Amino acid sequence: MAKIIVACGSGVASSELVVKHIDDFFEDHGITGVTVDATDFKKLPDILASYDVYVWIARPSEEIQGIVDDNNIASVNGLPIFTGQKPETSYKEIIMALKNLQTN
Amino acid sequence: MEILKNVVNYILNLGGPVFVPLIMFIIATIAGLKLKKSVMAALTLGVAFSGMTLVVNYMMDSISPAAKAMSQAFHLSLNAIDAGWTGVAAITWSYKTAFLFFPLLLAINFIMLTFRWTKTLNVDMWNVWNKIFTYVVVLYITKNALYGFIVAGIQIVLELKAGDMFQRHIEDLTGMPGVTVPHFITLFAVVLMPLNKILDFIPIFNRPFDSAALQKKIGIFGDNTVMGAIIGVLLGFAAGYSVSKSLNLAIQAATAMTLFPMISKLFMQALSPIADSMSDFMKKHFNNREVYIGVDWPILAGRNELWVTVILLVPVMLIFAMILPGNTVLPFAGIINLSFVVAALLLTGANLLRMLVLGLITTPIFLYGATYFAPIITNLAKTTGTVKVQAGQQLSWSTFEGPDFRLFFAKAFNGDLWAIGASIVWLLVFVWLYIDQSKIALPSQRYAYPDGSTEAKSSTKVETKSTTTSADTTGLDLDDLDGMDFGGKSKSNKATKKETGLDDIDGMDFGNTNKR
Repeated sequence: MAKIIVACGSGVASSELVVKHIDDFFEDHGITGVTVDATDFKKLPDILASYDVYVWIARPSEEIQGIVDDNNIASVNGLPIFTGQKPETSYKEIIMALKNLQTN
Repeated sequence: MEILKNVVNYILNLGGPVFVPLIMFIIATIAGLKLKKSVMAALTLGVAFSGMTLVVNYMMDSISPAAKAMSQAFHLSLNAIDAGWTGVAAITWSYKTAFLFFPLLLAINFIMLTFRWTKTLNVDMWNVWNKIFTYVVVLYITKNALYGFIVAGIQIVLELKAGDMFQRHIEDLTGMPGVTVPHFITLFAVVLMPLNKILDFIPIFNRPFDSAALQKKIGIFGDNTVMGAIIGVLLGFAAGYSVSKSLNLAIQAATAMTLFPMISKLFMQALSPIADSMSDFMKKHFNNREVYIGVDWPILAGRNELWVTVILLVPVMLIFAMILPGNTVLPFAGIINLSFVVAALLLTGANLLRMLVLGLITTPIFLYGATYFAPIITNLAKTTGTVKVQAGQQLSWSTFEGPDFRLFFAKAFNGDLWAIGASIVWLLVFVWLYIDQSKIALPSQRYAYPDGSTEAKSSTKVETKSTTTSADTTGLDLDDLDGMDFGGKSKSNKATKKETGLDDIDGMDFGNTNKR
């Protein structure tokens, strides 16, 4: 199971919106086997390591970037999805990141 | 005629949790959503209302007795329980005219863009709720629905102008071009503006300050669950509870704090089909224009200063709640002061010391705002039928958004002379703020070290690129993806390996796609 995480201020509104868009995209294309979760920035450092892809809407801080690098997590700019301006660029990056994952 | 009236009344009397999902279903159907999705959206909305009712009532039941006992012990009158923005937003969405504010926002933004009075295109349909809430406040005070719509309209215009003036600062702070935050909470900068100007005269406030290290240390206290537990146990002791009873209260408080955002997510899920079609509509009409896309504030949340400030202000909020004469609000679910910090971050250009001082000074404004507006929130909860509030108890929101704007403008439309004066002064300060923010140095260049450099010593900015480069994706056609399955995939990380393998029976095989 591939796991994607999106983070925002309270893990409620913005991240949930992006999660919903990604889920819809997967559904439209019949892509399965991926879970997409939303969380808040305060929790993110504790749980990020167990995810495969981090879709961000606020630029990763030094701490977050460190976790991303150490744990081999793909980070994708989710702002295009969030703003609705050329979201395909983000979706392509997400798909590429998923394709690059190892199959167990 | 009589029959129609009866039908309308019957539907309205079904109560928010039934009536609003019904409206939701109708709108979603008109917007062309598939039946399955409209049904899901409507039901999810109903579930969100019921779920929020459950959590708010649970919170009231566990916290109110302790708050009462503590109030008696310390001779305080903290009878208003804090449901936070998530609770108040939930109650507001269940208001009967809530959905009228989508077209209001669209129409005003559409007109202002057409006549080039703004460059901000607001696609943040979630925060329509704070316009609805302004309407509710004004309606309660003036008893006139038209005034409610007018003040909500003024708010929408001011938000768009705030989006215009803060855009270049947001680009500087986040490194993201073309986006802005036309959010109501940025308007608190009007109150902060004069205070921040005074700080200009004190040298220490004109230096940069690194906050990354501090954030790592205090980050844990900002976690909802941890914070709920701490407040719960402190409240238990203050109420004179036994250790075992205090610990139980700690768990109950942590439960409420943890569940609030979980329930709130449901609202977002339910409302997103509407929000999407609204923002698509706007984007379609202004696609070939240079506009700033207005989104919710979390694009700023990568800044450490923001989190350090709100977490350090938590004890400040609690202490003020105890010592401020006349305060009735016990801070709880709304204790993280997002209503203050976004404006402070933008206005000060992420200067931590200034943000903390401004937070210290303005915390009483929020508590008194919460005290003043508690009857309105309580009344809203009762009329929408979402929450039971017992006699002698109130519901409120300790970090009430924009108490200044809402109080002044509601009272001004009620004909109070002092409020008309205050509203005019408020608007003048907004103009001053607008001019000032349009020409002031960008945050990264505003504060200098003694040697004259503005470069932060250990910069909090990190060069981040998406790890898959654009070259990787050029050969990828999004229409060719259909039927992919990533069920058996995960990164090569021992922490996740044990969780995989359950789903790799279905679908496609990516056996040859090992990481390079």
